[in-house]
Amino acid sequence: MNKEKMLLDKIQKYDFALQEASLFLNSHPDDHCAMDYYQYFKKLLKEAKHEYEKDFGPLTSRSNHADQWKYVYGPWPWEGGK
Amino acid sequence: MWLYEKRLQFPVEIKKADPAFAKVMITQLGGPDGELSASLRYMSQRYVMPYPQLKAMLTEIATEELAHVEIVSAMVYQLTKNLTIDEIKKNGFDVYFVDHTTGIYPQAAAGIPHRAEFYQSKGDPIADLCEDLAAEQKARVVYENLLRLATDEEVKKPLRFLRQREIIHFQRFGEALGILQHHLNADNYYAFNPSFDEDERKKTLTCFDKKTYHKAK
Repeated sequence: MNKEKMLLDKIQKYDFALQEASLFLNSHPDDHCAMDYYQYFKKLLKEAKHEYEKDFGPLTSRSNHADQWKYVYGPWPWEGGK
Repeated sequence: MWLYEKRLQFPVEIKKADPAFAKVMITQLGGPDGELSASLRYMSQRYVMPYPQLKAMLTEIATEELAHVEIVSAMVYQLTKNLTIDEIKKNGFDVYFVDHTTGIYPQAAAGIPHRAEFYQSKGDPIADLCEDLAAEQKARVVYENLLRLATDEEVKKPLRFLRQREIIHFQRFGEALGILQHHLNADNYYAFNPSFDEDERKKTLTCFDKKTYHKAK
């Protein structure tokens, strides 16, 4: 697995954990255990996204930090390369 | 507002084109129990939800369904890549091809275009949440039928993921309905529409605020 794929895999996993936690917290907003879980993965996701975007370009049109507009570069998600 | 993230929620890496399967797969894009119906259903219904947990739940699930629209579209796209005219004819894909070439068009498996008649926004949270629970179960059945028809492991992986999401959403909608019924039951009275009958809603909100809302924040 190359570095890009590995980082993207991490992002997908951490974000999935966050997705699950947010849905659960919507119906259990005072569950401290779920809140700790959420905070833990939020931190991991932030780090993984930072590392990914540094080397492989922005994930959103609001996070293009380079001087060059890299948002347009392919492959796009449905093309199987990512 | 929404912000697009340039990645799939779950990887789709189908190497083998299969136009016959694409024809049935597309039903989860534009069909009655498809992801587009799901997203627009919850997105439309959220405005009349009387309690904050329910507004949050419908918004969050509607958003995740959009990510599923993208997964299903990616699957159809990869299943129909680099087809020859012979493959198109042989697999019965010609009836789709003639109108859309290999573009992604939201339709049901039998060719019915996506339509808003597939879902309701009733302005009544009990009616809406009950529809949502049924919708998640119906979508689960479609994914199970697709899994019965699929042969390629790269097709089955995202199908299993999407099927599991239907189960989780059903669970969360069940909790949302539970929250709603709990508040309506607080005064041992829930034969009214808390979205429309404002005075009655205030009565239940007062009760709700005192007992649980501050804790929840």
